[in-house]
Amino acid sequence: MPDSGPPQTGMEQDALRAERDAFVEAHLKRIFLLIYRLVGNVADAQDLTQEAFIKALQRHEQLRDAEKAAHWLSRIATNTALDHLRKRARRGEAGLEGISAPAPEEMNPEHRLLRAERAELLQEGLGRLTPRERAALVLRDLEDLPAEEVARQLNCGKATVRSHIANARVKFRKYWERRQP
Amino acid sequence: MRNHPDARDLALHAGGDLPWARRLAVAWHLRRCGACQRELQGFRDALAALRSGAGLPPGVDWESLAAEMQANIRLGLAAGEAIRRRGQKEGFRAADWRAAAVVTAALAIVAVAGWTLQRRPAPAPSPSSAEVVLRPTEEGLSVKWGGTEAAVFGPGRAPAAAAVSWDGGVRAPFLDEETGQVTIYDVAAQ
Repeated sequence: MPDSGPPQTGMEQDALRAERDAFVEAHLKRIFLLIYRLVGNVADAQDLTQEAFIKALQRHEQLRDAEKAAHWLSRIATNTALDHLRKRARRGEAGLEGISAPAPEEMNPEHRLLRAERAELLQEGLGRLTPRERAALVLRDLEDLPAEEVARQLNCGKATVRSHIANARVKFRKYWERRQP
Repeated sequence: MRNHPDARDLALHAGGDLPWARRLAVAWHLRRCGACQRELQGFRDALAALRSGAGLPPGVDWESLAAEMQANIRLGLAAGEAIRRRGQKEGFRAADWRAAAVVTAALAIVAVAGWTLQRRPAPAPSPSSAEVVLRPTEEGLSVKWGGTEAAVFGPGRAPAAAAVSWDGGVRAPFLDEETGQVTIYDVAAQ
């Protein structure tokens, strides 16, 4: 990503657009899934993903280092999702919502059922956690970020983040074991 | 066997997240304690189950969802750029009263629309979704049912992006390049 101010010439603008498109393409699925795990429904995840990318790309000077940019984008995405959950909680709305997307016709029915069951298990299990426990679990165990980076993203200390991760794993395991036949 | 590690320690150990001194103590205990080994395996199995459900939500057509999000992100950036340019041109004071005028006008439109909708008679029965075809066009969106096709939105310019969304609806955002105002027409098939 270029590190100067807003581009002046048409060529600079085209180059910036191409870099922005490549950045979005490279990270879109990861960020959508991260946000979806936190908010639990596709429509909100779509809106929040777009919002997170727009916030990040409006400050493109922050995106020079690819690895730092990926973490920075995850941080914006996590905070955007947590803000959304806080607002939803203030309005008294429910936690994670069910998946309302239609099932695709072309998928094998057995595979579709198994995948839907696993996805439901995951989302219901995540729904038992507080937003910060959920974020810690998703970032550590699904995004595979080190605990130090999870602490940075959640703006808290390492001991606090370990506590969130431990609580989240204990609660998720209890939920998962109750669901076993 | 005494001094078993608690469940939280085992949960952290399952993911390699204990500080090194505690990790050594727990690992030493686990070598001699079958009950704690089974507890640890329980956490590992739960983690594996968590990861196995972590793909895309079932039923989501990723290609069309991604295309829609990419188009909306481009649009949002273009709108932000238009607002920034406008702010630079006119200065903040002019922008302030114009923004206030836009907000007032928008509130008035919402109030009138709400009043009109409340007074509107019940709509005629709509055709079933199997008969309705929604599609983006260069002028906006069109709805086709039976032998009739109507351009439902035609604001006089092509949409910045138009896409069939993942849930079967059609969405077309329009960007006013002077003000940065974005109007999104979103029609859902029911």
